[in-house]
Amino acid sequence: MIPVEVAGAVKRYGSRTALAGVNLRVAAGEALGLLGPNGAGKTTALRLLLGFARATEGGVSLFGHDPSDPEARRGVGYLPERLVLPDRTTVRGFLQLQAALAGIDAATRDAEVDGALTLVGLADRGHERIGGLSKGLRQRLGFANALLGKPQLLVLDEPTSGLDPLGIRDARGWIQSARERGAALLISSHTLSEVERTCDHVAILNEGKLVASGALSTLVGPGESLEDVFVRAVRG
Amino acid sequence: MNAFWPLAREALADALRRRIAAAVAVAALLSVGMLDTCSGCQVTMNGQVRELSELAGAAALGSFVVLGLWGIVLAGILAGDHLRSTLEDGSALLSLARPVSREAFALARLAGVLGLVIVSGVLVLGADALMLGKRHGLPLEPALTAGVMCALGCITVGALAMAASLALPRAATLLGVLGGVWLTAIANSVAAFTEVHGWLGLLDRVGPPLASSMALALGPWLEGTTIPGDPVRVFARLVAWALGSLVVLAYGFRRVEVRG
Repeated sequence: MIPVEVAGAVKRYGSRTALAGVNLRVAAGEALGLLGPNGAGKTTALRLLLGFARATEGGVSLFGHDPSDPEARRGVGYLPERLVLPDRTTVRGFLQLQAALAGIDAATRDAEVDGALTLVGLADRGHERIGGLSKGLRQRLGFANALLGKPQLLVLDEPTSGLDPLGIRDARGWIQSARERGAALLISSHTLSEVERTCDHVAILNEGKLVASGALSTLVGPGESLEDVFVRAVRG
Repeated sequence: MNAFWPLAREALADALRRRIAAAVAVAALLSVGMLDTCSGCQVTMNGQVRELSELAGAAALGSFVVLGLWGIVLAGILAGDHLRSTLEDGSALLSLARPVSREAFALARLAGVLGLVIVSGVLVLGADALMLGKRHGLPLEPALTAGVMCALGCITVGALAMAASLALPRAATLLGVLGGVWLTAIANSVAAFTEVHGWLGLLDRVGPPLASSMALALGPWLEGTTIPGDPVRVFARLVAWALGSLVVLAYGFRRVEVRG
């Protein structure tokens, strides 16, 4: 089952077209970097994929299901760009709730939560209230939440936002580990250097249209960087 | 619906953390304190001083229904913000990205509000009924039935307010709750004494019987007076309104596009 398939997706808000016939595909074990300037349609694409909104035209499928079907999201881990966490809840309490919502069996829930906390370096902070965490630690907690239950698809929106250089390095490791166990990744980011390091495919959106896509190895020519490809695709 | 209970617990905790929850707790305790005084006072009628116990049934019915209506208003006010705020601040995203149905999420948010309101309602209405029973010998069973009617009214108004909040501005939802509940109560009250025509009559006959269902349930407290209306039909209408409101909320939230 292909984790992500977007075929000719169109999304209109009134007279404004946010996505104009976009095609995307992410297979198991692949990491697709979704790039584009502000307002290009990246967030809209992620909203369609997670069932937050419906496509006006075209098809979007998550593991072969309509994303509005809750079962389609069973193997999905998501880290939003604007991470809003319940400040008065403890770190562990938050992950326990999310593990329950993810459908993780009660017998293994504690172990899963412990594993995720240890992975992101928050093992000794489980009892603390989230409101007391720094921005970087909150982002680590966001990662722990996304990685709970070893999802088959990780959707990460600006994943390194708020992380210090060590955190960014750690995040790279978590992403790499997920790929090694066969998870598909969809990463929306403005940090081209990170996308270049963590993804093997990229899709570049501009004004709602897909202006470039393919394997990094074929898009980026000798002596070029992803930034060169990005500027060429967006500015023409 | 496996996700319902964890989400409902979270929604209840959210409701308890809201500043209005403290105000509700204080108001509930004050109401209980006042009930003690009010249920044992003297009143002056046509220049004659009379013990309230002589008018116990009517006074008890009136106080119970008014307190119940305030509980229903409170459910509407809290529900009018409880789902909308999670969408506005983005805190719903992490839950909705999980294998959680929109219906379960919305109904769990409503359950959180209802949990708070029903606990307050049991405290206030229960104390009211117990005091009236002890002082004036009024039976408790009618109060239990009226309490259930009040809870159904809370579900109806809470679910409708929550659904309306997905489309209307906050102030409009608030005005809708206040206006809707009190207009319905007025229609029900006027219809108990005289035949009502026009839109007020329609509201009484077709709308949710928020006040009349509680009043009919408390009918046995009145001696020598019968409240007009068939209790079974009125109760069935309120149940239908409660179920219909839940369907409206679930369907309405399913169609909402969440900002990510």
